[in-house]
Amino acid sequence: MAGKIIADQIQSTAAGTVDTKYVVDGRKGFCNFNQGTSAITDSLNTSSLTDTSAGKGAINWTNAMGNANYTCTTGTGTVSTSAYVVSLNDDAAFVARTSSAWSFQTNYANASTSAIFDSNFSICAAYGDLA
Amino acid sequence: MNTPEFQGTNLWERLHWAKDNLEPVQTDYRVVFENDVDSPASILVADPNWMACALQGGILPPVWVYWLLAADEAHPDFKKHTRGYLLHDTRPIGPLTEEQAIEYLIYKDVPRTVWENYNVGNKPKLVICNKSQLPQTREWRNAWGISDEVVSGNSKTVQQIEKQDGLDLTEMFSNELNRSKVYA
Repeated sequence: MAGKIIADQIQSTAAGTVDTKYVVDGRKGFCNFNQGTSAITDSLNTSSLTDTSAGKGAINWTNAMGNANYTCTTGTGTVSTSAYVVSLNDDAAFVARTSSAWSFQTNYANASTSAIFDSNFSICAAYGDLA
Repeated sequence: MNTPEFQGTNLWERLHWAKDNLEPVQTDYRVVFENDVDSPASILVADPNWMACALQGGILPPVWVYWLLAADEAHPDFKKHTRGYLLHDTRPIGPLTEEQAIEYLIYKDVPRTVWENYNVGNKPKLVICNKSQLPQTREWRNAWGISDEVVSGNSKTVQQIEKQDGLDLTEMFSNELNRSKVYA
């Protein structure tokens, strides 16, 4: 039988009390995607992926965020067998971020080279206020 | 499975319900569009969970809600959305076919400057295709474009969407834009 627990605060015996809104107020959307095949593997609150060019694109949100000042945490997979540092980055410097779309670019680099590339495994999660 | 009566329920909660209860739908449709003559063609891929919502019906708001929020955000004094209730309180749309869902997604996630006049010019700026029609590797991805040989047929216009919902969006948009100009 489905039920509901209503509480404004949760208290720990060791760490004091926290308002439930800070517990419940977690990620507002996420997207796990493969730009190598231009496909979304799993998501929440995502309407589509715009693949704009090699290693670049945007995640479009279904429920817009309150404004463009939300946070995205990211991760991406390694580049074949080479020792590169890889990262999925905010691309707002080149493509304006909006409340309904988060633009990104995926980079790899080592001591001698760097490039934008299509990652086969990228994840991002958005945190902030919803519209 | 029937969709609960969701009008007035926060859209984000609806999306959670959909993720818990609906099977994701991977569509084979892709939207190819050219937003800028100096940039390669963009490929729009529908999200499987979103597609499940669109096919199910009773979850997503009408697309014009997004247009009004976009107009708000384009306002120079915009700080944050104050009309988010449009997403939550507007009566959700009914079930769409896969093709209608792609069309909805175009109006939502492709820049208006692209779809508004997509078929004006030497070749269309936007085409809907099957993913098998795209290059099968990412080679020369930054040189991809819509073929000059593509000839697009006519499609549903914005005015037809307005008629579906019994709205006069031209007037609504005009009012929004005028409001922006007043405060600019």
